[in-house]
Order: sequence, then structure tokens, then C-alpha cells
Amino acid sequence: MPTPITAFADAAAKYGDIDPNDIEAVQKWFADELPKLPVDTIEQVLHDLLERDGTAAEREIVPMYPKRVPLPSLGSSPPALPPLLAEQWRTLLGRLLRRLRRR
Amino acid sequence: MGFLRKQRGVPFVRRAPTESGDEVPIHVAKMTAPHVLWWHSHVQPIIDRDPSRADNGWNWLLYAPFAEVAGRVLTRKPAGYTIGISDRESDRFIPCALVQLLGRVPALDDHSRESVFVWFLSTAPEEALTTIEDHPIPVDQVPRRLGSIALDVAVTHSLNKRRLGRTALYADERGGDALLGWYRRRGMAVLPDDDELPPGPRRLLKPSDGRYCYYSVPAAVEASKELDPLR
Repeated sequence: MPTPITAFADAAAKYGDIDPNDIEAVQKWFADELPKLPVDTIEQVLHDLLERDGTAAEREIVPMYPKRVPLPSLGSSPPALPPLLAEQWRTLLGRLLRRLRRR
Repeated sequence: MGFLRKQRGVPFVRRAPTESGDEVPIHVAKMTAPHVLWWHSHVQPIIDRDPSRADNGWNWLLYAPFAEVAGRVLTRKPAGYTIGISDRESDRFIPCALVQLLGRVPALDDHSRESVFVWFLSTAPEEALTTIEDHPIPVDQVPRRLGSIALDVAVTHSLNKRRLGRTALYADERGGDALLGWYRRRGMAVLPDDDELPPGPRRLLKPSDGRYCYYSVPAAVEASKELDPLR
């Protein structure tokens, strides 16, 4: 979704009274404060962002890249598990057939 | 067609080809805050040096929490995945691609059915993976086909969540015809620009303009089969 970062910054300013030029404060607001807002307000934020989807940023916000962030640990990377049958359907089918044969 | 695939689900990709001709093990993880923080620190600055990329200027520190919250509020069942390489010796995980999707939206080709919608998808440039401090990946071991694998993660999610593979996305204008062509080559159909989107905010605010792409059920099954050797 090519919604300009300025749209996110303006939404944080409008609904959270955040300085739209402070990208770190904007990021923090989206991560920490937005989830606490009423559903109607969150829907309004989505509406504002989609309204500016595909538009060019009308001003520049200098990106801030955090420095020296370590690689994530395996513990913070839980595997995405598919359904049991997707992984083990052959094993489970084999077990079922063996059980049926025994009967 | 693909009856078993739709009924039993599909495992995620486990390997990716490399330039050396080998395969490298791939780990598909649930996207977490440390993944996007590291991405914004190390990968995004390299992407931002290339103005031709559709994900130039993106900020996953905004997208991931926002997509999660907005998707939950709208009962769209959001899900985020990180595709990466696990290094068990050092207990590190190297994110190589990120996918943020909505798991429950009306399908583009049949508004009465449910589909997955890929909201954001980004792959790491080779330079980002070969320059990681203390953990650089050798050039000939860098995973290839990351874009196809990331798209397959979305299709796999759709198959595993009873959306039968239906998957849609919007091809960013900055990607031009090349990006649209890339999705076509992956088997996606393009919604004609005079077709109406399903009811929802996008119909009004971001109507069809010939850049919405989707997998019908048979096309998704075919695309999924294509990556079976890597599962």
C-alpha cells in the first residue's frame, strides 16, 4: 500500500496530538496508543490513510533508522504452524490404515 | 482439482534455492516486533537507496502494528509472517522477507466468497543479507526466489484457513508494468479497471484501476503446486 508516511504522521497528529515531524513519536503512537482507541476512531484512521493511498507525500519526513539492532533470536521467532494434516497426513493415514487392518 | 491440498492444508516452504545450486533451509515465522525493528534498522536503509523499488520509503514499524490493529477491528483476521534463515548455533533468526496480510476479505472474483489480501510484502535485497554484522550470509548462499516464496506464504495461509487459495493484492503503482507482469507470471489475474471492488472502504477510496491482482481457486492451487519441491 503506497500510503505516504506523511499520511501516517498526520493521522498521529490528528488523533493523538503527536508532532507529525517526529517519526519516532509517530511510530510509538501507532504501536502503543492506537490499539487503545475506540473502534470508531481506528476505523476513521484507516479511512484517512486509504483516502491518501497512492498520493505523493507533500512534504519530506526524514526516515530514522534505529542503530545497532541485534538480529532477532529464535525464541522471538515462533514458527508459523500449518494444520496438523498438512504436515503429517502420510503418517496419520498410515496409522489409520494399520489400525483398520488390525481390526 | 487440488482437493487434498484444499482439505488437508499445505506446509510452508522449507527450503530456498541459492546461486551455488544448493538449497538453504527456510523458516517461516510469525512476524514479531524484533523482526520489523531489525528490518527497519538494517534492511530498509538499503531498500531506501533504490528509488526503483516499490517498497522504497516503507516503514514496517508503522505498517505492522497498524495492519494488526485495523485488521482486528474490522474483523479481517490479520496475520504477519517473516520468512528467514535460522542459525541454531548462535540462536539467531535472519529475516529475509516480510508479508502482512488480511485473512478475511471478500474475494475480488466472487464477492460472496472470502479471500486473503496481501497488504504489504517486501523482500530483502542481496546486499542486506551479505552485510549483516557478525552474521553475513555468503553471496552464494543467499536464498533466491524470495518474492515467489513470500507470495506462496500468503497462498498457503489462504489454503490452510479455508479460503481455498483465494489471494488478492494491489500492485503498487511505483512497480509499474514490470511488477504487474511479475504477478501475472506467478499466475495471478488482473481485475479489469472497470470492475467493481467488493463492498468496503477500498471500493470508494481506492477503486479498481487495473492494478488489483488475484488468484482464483484453480490458479492458486497451480501456483502452490509449483513450489512443492521446496516444501
